[in-house]
Amino acid sequence: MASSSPAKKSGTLSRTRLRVVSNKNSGNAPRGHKWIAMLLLFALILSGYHFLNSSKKVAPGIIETPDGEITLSPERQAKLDRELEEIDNATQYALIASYNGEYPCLSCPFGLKTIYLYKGNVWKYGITRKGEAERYPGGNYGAENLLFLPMFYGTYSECLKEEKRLIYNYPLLPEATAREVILARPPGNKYDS
Amino acid sequence: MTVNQDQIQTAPIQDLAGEQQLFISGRIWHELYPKVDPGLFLKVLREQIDLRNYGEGITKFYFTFVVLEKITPNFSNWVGSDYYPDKASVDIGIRIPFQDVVEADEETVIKLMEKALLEGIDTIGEHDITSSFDHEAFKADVEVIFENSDWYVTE
Repeated sequence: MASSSPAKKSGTLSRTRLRVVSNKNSGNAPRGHKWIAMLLLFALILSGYHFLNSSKKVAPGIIETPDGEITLSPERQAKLDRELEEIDNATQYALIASYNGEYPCLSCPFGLKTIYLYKGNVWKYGITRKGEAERYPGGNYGAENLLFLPMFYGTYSECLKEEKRLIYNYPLLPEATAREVILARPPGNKYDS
Repeated sequence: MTVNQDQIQTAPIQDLAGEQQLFISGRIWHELYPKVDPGLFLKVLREQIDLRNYGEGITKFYFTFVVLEKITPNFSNWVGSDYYPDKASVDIGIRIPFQDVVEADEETVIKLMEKALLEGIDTIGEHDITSSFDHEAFKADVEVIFENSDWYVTE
């Protein structure tokens, strides 16, 4: 408010002083440089951002196209497709005894370790999404002398449901009810799934 | 067929496999069992074949009959022939045409299975173990068994 007092007293002088500054251009020069500098700085930031953006480091399996588009590498895309197919493409199976004999029992009560199965008796119900050999290396299904019988093809979810129905209903099978000790699950199914 | 409590035993699990050399199995659509019955082959071959007669290159012979209408890429490794030198074992899967089995009578199915097994033994020749295992002698002995048309009738 102190500066307004002289202006009120001699407004002409005040305006003249302002004009002088303006006419000399001595005040304009610094302000113009400031704008140019700001524009340059802005352009620098923009180009720096663009530079940084265009030289992003990408993780293995991710690629940047010449157009600057980020995409999956063909190998990673193929891995995704394969894993999706494995989920959509599962098999529910039964492992049955290929001949009469002793088999390991994982579901027997009272600490019993083995069970005698007749040819064709179920040892286990299971599901697989991959090549079965990967689950049973060397042809061993968890016990010897078993046959792998696919029973249902479908998605992993559908096969899982089918497997559960079979496991839970196993005690109702004639081969299960004929025993004096009725098992809750097939001998090869330690758990309900 | 009766099943009693004496079915449940406490014998050590490892005794079950013993020193068996031959493992004849199957990946068979469930509706085709027991029309396709690898157990017939397992029983007779175990009684009559001793792999030690042919060398030390193979001590475990895993064979699988594959009888499925379709085999998706997920399960393509069900068919083939693999040799594991460190275990001296061979794992062979041979596919039998699904429709042929559906249409065949039981005797014809046995013939299809015989053919598949012999074809599987032939694949041993593709592995570099001819110096340590005489697969042709093995095959010849199996063929002799199959010459008897009733070889699988055991009872």
